[in-house]
Amino acid sequence: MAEIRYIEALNQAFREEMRRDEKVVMWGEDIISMNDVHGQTRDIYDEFGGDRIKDTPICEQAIAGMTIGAAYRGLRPIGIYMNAGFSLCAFDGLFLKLGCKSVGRYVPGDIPATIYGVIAGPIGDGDNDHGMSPESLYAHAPYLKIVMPSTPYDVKGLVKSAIRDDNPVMVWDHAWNFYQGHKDGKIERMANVQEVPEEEYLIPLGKADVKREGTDITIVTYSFQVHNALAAAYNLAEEGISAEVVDLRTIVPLDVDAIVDSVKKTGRLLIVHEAMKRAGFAGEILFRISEHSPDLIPSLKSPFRRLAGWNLPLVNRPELVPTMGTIMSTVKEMV
Amino acid sequence: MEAPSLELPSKEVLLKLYRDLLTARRGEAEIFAIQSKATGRGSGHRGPGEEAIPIAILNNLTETDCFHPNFRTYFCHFAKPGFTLKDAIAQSLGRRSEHPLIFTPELGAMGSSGTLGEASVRYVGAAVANVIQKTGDVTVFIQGDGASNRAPTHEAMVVAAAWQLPIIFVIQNNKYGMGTSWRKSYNIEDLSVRGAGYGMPHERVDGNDMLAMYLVAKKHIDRCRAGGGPSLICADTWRLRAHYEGDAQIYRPKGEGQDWQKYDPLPRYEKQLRELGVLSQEDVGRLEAEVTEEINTTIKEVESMTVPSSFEDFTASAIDGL
Ligand SMILES: Cc1ncc(C[n+]2csc(CCOP(=O)(O)OP(=O)(O)O)c2C)c(N)n1
Ligand SMILES: [Mg+2]
Repeated sequence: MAEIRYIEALNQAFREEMRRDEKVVMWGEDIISMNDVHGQTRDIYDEFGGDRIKDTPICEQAIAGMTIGAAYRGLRPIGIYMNAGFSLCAFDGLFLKLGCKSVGRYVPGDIPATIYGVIAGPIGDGDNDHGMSPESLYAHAPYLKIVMPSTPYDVKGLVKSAIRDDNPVMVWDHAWNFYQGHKDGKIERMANVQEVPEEEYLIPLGKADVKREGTDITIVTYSFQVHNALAAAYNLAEEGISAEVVDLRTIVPLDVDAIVDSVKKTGRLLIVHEAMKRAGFAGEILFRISEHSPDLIPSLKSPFRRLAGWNLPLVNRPELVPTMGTIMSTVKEMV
Repeated sequence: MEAPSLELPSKEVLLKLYRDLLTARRGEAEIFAIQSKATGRGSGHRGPGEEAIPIAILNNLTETDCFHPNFRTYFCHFAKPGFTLKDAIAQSLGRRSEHPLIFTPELGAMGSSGTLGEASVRYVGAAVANVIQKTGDVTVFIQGDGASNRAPTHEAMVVAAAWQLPIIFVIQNNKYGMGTSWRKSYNIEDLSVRGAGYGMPHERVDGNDMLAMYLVAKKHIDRCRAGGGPSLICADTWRLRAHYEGDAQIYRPKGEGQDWQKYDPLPRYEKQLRELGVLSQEDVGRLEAEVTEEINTTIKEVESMTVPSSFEDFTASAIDGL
């Protein structure tokens, strides 16, 4: 098995699916001319040609609409947003038409459409519109599966499943995954590399992954915060605290079983996400646990907590989102 | 506006257009009467006087071409090859026919949008899919003058022009969007000139003149089918009725536009056909009787269909709990 970077794994997922099924096409801004900025779409034009991958004008609403319309007419399109925040220009198409499947007084059947976009995070381009995490907005829609990967192995298997799904799937991909990862209790550049099998594999949507086992507390998280949580857990172990890290991988469908199993074992719960705290996904996770196992929350050894982005626009201030440090200090207050 | 100097369609086509126009007019009125009786009050957005626009277009399309009607004249969609009067009546009366008018992608119907304007970009997607899959189908997207102001329409036209897609945009310009008149919404009178800004051929036509409308539609559709790329048609018409039935129309002077009654496409087209010697007084009477009979039989047939339990459709597709 070869050790590859996150971007390479993602690029392999796209290319393998396009080879497998000629109905898979993609469009977005600068996905040919600049390889989608980070290299996600590298070499796709050379291999598949202009019918399968298209650079669009700057037209976010059209990217959504075209993806939906082309899916109705027999293709399996991937609509690509340079930044997840830009997708909000197309909220009508993405939320109402794709997410609620509204087309008039009628609910259509399958829509094999994938939406992909990049969350720049609190630095990157440095403003909220590039950096913000939109997943809670979309999770409110009945029909959107939402994938938020953290590692090379996961992104490949999840994106392949997303493309093959006969119904709408959104992949909101954190740019920090492209360039950094956890290693021995630190976040290091180019550390998000992993051995990825040469042979094909798929990861089902809706299955969480316990990225680190522990006994004192469960940290439920997803996307790049998995790396912060893993780095924190590594350091906490040196201080005698055993933290379990549950990577949700998809927030819709939500793997409530996996969360409940872990929390039953550890008796403590910390939920971490980068998106703003108010009405963020942590609240949904908590309710789903309670609905699944009503006795679990009252039996916790310490009150559940959440760490999330501040209720502020994300302007070039890394301290506005959870970090390895804030995860560690919160866990220490809880255990 | 003059009718373009193109060859007259065959007698058969001329009469088909007349029959479709008559069916649309009488059918929609009949449906409205049934709905009013059921609810005890008239409601709904009615479009008598505007039917020539979709009817002329639909008579130039094939089963697999894509088409989006303006919501006000959705009933006319029965005239698209592949759909039937039964489909239109079933949709109007809340029944589910084999081919729902609103959503049968294989017949080119991919839904409308409650948020006006948005559907334009979805039909651009259909046009892209048609090109990639080399189906040869064209797409015609009609919406109102009001809806055409919205941003998605702009993006739709930008992409359609940049990629030279086989799609024709049509503005059904009845001069009003709800209570807001053209005077408040535009600094231009001929909305078709917008096409120039996208580098698209564009044309204004009298949408109440069936013959002119048919010839213009045919010209653009033939051109598009032959690989000529997108274009924009602005079809002028007039909203004879209120925005919705029961709307007191406080926004317009009483009787405004009543002179448009004389441009009503049905009597106007009938007169044209009689002048052309294609239609006689007896034909008119016979067709009226035929069309009425067809509408009544179809309504009876549809009324005997069960009302679908749409709730099951919804719940079957839930992805992560209800
Ligand atoms: C995005 C959006 N804004 C407002 C409305 C409310 N609305 C419904 S019909 C209508 C008028 C539409 O005018 P036009 O497109 O000219 O069609 P017409 O009614 O004249 O046939 C409006 C404003 C809507 N449905 N969607
Ligand atoms: Mg109007």
